[in-house]
Amino acid sequence: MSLLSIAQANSQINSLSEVPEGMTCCLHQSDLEQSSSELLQAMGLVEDCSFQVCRNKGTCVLQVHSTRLAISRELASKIQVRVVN
Amino acid sequence: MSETDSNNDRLVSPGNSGRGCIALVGNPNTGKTTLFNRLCGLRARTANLPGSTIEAHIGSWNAAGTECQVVDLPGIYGLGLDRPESRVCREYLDGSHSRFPDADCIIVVVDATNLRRNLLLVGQILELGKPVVVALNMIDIARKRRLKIDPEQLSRELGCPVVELSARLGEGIGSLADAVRSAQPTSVDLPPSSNLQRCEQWSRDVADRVGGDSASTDTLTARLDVAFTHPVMGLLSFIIIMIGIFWCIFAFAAIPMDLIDLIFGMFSEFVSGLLPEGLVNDLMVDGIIAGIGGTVIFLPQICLLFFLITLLEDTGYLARAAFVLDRVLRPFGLSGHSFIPMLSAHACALPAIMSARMIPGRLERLATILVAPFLTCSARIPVYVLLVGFLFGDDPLLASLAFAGCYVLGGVAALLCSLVLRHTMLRGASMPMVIELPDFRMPSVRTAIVTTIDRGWVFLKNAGTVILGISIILWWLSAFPVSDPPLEAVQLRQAAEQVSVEDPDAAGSMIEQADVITGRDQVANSFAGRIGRFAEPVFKPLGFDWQLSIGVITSFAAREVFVSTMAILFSGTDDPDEEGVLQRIAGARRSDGSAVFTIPTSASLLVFYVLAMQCLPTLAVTRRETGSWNWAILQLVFMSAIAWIAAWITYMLVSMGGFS
Ligand SMILES: Nc1nc2c(ncn2[C@@H]2O[C@H](COP(=O)(O)OP(=O)(O)OP(=O)(O)O)[C@@H](O)[C@H]2O)c(=O)[nH]1
Ligand SMILES: [Mg+2]
Repeated sequence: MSLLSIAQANSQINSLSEVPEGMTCCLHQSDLEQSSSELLQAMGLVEDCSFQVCRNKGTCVLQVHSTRLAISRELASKIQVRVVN
Repeated sequence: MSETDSNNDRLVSPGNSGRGCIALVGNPNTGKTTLFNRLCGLRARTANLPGSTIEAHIGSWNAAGTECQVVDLPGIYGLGLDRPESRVCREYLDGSHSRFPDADCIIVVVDATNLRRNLLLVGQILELGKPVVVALNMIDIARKRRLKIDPEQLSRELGCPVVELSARLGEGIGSLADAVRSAQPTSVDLPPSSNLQRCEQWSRDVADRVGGDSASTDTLTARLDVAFTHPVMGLLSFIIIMIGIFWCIFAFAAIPMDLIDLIFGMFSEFVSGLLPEGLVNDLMVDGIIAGIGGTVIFLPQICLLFFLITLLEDTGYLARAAFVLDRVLRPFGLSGHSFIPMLSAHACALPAIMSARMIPGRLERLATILVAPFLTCSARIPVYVLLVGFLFGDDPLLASLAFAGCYVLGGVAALLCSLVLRHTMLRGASMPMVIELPDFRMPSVRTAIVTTIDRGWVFLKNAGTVILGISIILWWLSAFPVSDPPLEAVQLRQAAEQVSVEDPDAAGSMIEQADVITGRDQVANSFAGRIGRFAEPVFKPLGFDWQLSIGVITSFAAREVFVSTMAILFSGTDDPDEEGVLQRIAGARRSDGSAVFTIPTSASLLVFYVLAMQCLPTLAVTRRETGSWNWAILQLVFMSAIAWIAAWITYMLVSMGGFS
């Protein structure tokens, strides 16, 4: 990951599947099917919540407060996030 | 006041059920079933894995002399979600689930280390207007992580009793009974559950005020996950763990197996000496002891399999494996959710097909149900051990490779069939994978031992009922009608009589040979022999003679019956005193005197047993879970066809390879 792309990642809204590992993000919006989006919300991934991206290769592992979530890349690509740091 | 008084000697006031009933609700993996087992003295399945309970269970709890019923429900993230587990809970809580009495009180089991998220569900449950108790479970872990939650403050915030609990250690159960007695519907104002934003804010505030809001993360889990969720390392570690489990099963099961064989051999000799020669002796020794002994010998392997899988389940690893395998399974039209059913199919297809209920997508669920019986269940282990022993008995390395090969063959068949199904009958998009990764924990050896004993007991009970019954029927079918000894045997006996004085040794061996010929002739002309001959043409291209055909037919009730069938069919035809069950089967002869278990036949039989749908109970469960016989019949037809064709190809190839 070059410094430039980290800077880019910082400044804009990204698809979750493109966020580098180790970054903290804030959920912006998602265009998921209703059933998936309701499930993620009930699991703690609500709008504006912040979480850490622990792994983002192939599949995506997130630490949302005390919950560790694994979601498929397909879902991650439909979730928009703001990178916090 | 008087009403409260009269209710005081009951734990909960009974609704229309007549008896008090308590429901256990909560997020997945918060310890509901552990608590249920603790309260009711039961042994329902628990695992460090979200989604380990798939249907409601009922038990009764005797709390200091007062009895009430307890219903354990599957874990849910929300009551209103369009998910199978949420549906089960809704149906039960709104009373449309007629099987169990309505709940008079609800215990929400909350993970104290993840209070904020768990409170979202607590809010939804409080809204139902029933008496609620919040059980703050896993308090032992919360303490270790120095989380300081104030239960009194939480109780005031929620308007219901809150009890600190460790279901695993049995801490706080006494206070739970008191709390249930005093529970009332909450009078606190809560945000409506339809407004998710406000609920989220509310749960955050409450968690913050009671001191449970510091994010608790487990550093060990984070470190282990670096390897276990890595796309390549995760897959590698999965393979290594699985190989390790199978290695353990083989390395450690041999000694107790030999011991069991020895004990049954001695017992058989003892009984045979005790009873006068004749029908009862034959039934006991050749029917019952041979049949049961041939099955019970595999108990150690089955126990080890369950012990190791239960330990693994309890560490929290399986959710990672499901996640890593999602990418592997997806091209075949399955998903990571299919992994848990497919893993449990290695123990038995019945619970596997039932646990497929929790797969959210209908198409993946059907595909998983249809292909799960390809995976090697524990009932196949006896057959594998027997046949692999015949093929590679003198080379342990090749034998274990062949054994592993059977598992791989079953797995590959399952994946390919799913691929075909998902491109034909079950075409459509798959549901994306979402799974919570529980923290890694030290597995409970006690749970593993208890599960192992339970499963071993089920296996033994099966040996004592189904296999005993089939053994007796089979013995009868092979002992009747009694046929006259063949001419060859009669002549041998006459010759023996003539030489008995000059050469008693030769006479003895002649009589022995005559017995073998008589025994073989008897089975061949018996009812069983006739059935076997009738079916023989179907199996002849696979290299099976009429005796193996009998085995294939009887094992339809349960696969392991094959071994007991062989033990019974071949028990009368050889000298039963000198060798163990397995050697006797190995030495079996066809009608023309050639060996039954040649290399091509053993290989094709092995392939047949890997792939064939030889299990009536599985068909019944498939019917129940899919709601139609069509799927069950489809499963039977395609699995049988694939098994026959693959076994035929194997037989041809191995025969052409010059092995005989
Ligand atoms: N340390 C600790 N572990 C616990 C406690 N209660 C349960 N566990 C463990 O947590 C894991 C999950 O327990 P289960 O009883 O299966 O949880 P459940 O809520 O029934 O899970 P689902 O049926 O999947 O919703 C198991 O490994 C238990 O041994 C507890 O109080 N302390
Ligand atoms: Mg449970």
